[in-house]
Amino acid sequence: MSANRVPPLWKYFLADLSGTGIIDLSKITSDRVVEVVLNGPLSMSGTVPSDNKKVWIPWSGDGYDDPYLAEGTRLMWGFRQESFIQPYWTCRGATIVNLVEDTAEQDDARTRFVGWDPWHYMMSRPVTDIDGNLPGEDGLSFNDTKVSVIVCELLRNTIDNYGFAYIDAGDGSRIGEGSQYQDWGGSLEYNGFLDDTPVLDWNIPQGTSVGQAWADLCAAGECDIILDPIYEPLGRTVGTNLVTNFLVEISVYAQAGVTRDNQKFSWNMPGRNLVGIDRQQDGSSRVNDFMAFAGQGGTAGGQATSIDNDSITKYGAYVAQQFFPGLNGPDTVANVLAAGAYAQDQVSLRATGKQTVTFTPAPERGPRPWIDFQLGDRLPVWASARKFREALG
Amino acid sequence: VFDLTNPFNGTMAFNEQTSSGIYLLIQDGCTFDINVRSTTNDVPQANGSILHTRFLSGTTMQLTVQLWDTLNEVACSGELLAEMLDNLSGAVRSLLNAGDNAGRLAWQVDGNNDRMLDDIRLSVYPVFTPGPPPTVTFTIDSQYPYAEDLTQTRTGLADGVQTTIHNGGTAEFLPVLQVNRLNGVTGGSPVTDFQITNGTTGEQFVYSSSFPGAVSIPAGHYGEIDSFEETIFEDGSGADLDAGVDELNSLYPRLVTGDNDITVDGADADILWQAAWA
Repeated sequence: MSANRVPPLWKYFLADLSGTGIIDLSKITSDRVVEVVLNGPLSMSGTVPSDNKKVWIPWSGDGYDDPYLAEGTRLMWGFRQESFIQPYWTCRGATIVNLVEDTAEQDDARTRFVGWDPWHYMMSRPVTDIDGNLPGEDGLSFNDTKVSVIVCELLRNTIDNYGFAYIDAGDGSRIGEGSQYQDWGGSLEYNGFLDDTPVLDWNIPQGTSVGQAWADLCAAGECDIILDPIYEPLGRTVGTNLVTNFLVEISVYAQAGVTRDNQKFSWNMPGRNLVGIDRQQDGSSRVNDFMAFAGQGGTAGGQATSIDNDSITKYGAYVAQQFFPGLNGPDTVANVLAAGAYAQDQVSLRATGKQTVTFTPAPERGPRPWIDFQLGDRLPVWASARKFREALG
Repeated sequence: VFDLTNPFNGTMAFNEQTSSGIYLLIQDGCTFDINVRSTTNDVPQANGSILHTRFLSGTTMQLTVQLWDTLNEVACSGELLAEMLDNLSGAVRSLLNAGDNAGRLAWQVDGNNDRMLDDIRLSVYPVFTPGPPPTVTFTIDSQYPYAEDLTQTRTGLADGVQTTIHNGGTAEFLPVLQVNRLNGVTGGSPVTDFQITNGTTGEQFVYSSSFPGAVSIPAGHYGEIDSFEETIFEDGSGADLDAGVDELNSLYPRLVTGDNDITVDGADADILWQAAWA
């Protein structure tokens, strides 16, 4: 009987910006960190010996003669070993290397590198309209528009006006599944998901980048945006071309993920897969009486208030007020309603204070990322009151 | 008998009479080490441990050498002692950054093939103790997590023909393969795609020139796969062929202990291997 192979959990693979493969950094990369964030750019980092031939050899394939590992001219995929049968490796990260740092001591030099997925790159692409015009002082407005259409339209506009963005949102061949599936400058093979809700009015202020506009939509609770990494070296079809350097395909959900009650993280309860856990209960941001004012100083029509009496009874009054200079104009009722909705959101989120739980799972015992749960999923974290002051669950 | 291959004086023999006396290895002062790299957590709020995936370091060998004139007489004359020390320190010092195949420690094994630590380097500088007998202690190390047979075997793998390779050692071995070669003769046709399958482990290595940046292995050349380094270069040190490796479907070949049923499809190949011991 042959022993199971023990390969590294992750390996990184470098290509130039066209997707032309260069080298994999197996066996030489230490300090590997892959950080996956909901509604933000994924990042992958590591450290390699600067004198290794997989690092310093000049690459002439793109005409620049940069070293194999270089900033700004390298795509980097991260593959995770999740199977002992083919495919052994699954693509779990796809980035542009945007930070390289060489550090030398007496005897050797090490090179640290970080790649971010294209959401980070979109922070360097301004929001424009289809013709490439930057928003004026009134911003760029969308009325009665699906949020996925807003997200993808910003993407298509930047592709049209500033070039390839490494993000596949489809070419419109799935139009039968909903009007949100349009030609967004992507490929025939696009396999992402574009939700048809919510539909909203939205304004993007002057000077906003595409990446920031996406982050604002997510922060406002309008949607979750997932950039799924893809590795398709034989290419995806865009028109009559095969494109080999798509890094991600975009999905837009009203809310990403599902609740997985059977995938438990626990500290002193069965499972015992948390080797570290931290809970912070922070009342400093508690609000149970929120007053929102439309217009500067409430000039657009007075205040909208939301109160949580149960919270006031328990904790006393925690009051906050906020003005919205941008909520003005002729439709006073709509402005006040908008402020009122915001006030209700604030109280519902903040009336009990903020609880933050961070924990360190043992990978051999805990639910496995990507296999047992996905980005956006909601999983229980357990600790009993007898050992952890107050039950967590 | 041990032989130390080194850049300074070629080879040095231990445990046998030479024209410069006898370099006698002292068993009590010699060690062979491979470290287990382990990470362990305690099971939270319960007895027991969580054992994380473990790996091995390369090999380390400490050698303690006594300097004797003959089997019955220590090296006490100043001239002989100086000569022996110069030979030994020169050989050992030259291993500091010895290149590929430039440093090697081989030894005889009763009833079995000679073995070696390959690609050794100096790890701890020699320490001299006047004695008597005069004694020198130093440490060498190798990047490989095993010792291996001294004699390398080249086995031809004809296209599509399964060949059984028997690793009679005690550890898995990471071989070198030369694709588009058969028994040392390089093929006259280009190789565009090939797969190497170990039917014993079920593992495969897949190469395709259709990937972006990938090229065929040209006629008259071979692609050398180094499974320890995880590299593939044309003729061993030429063009980097890594772009042709199917990243999702490839594991670099290894030879587990016992039989390995190896098949190469799409090309002929030679596999260069030894039994591994540790």
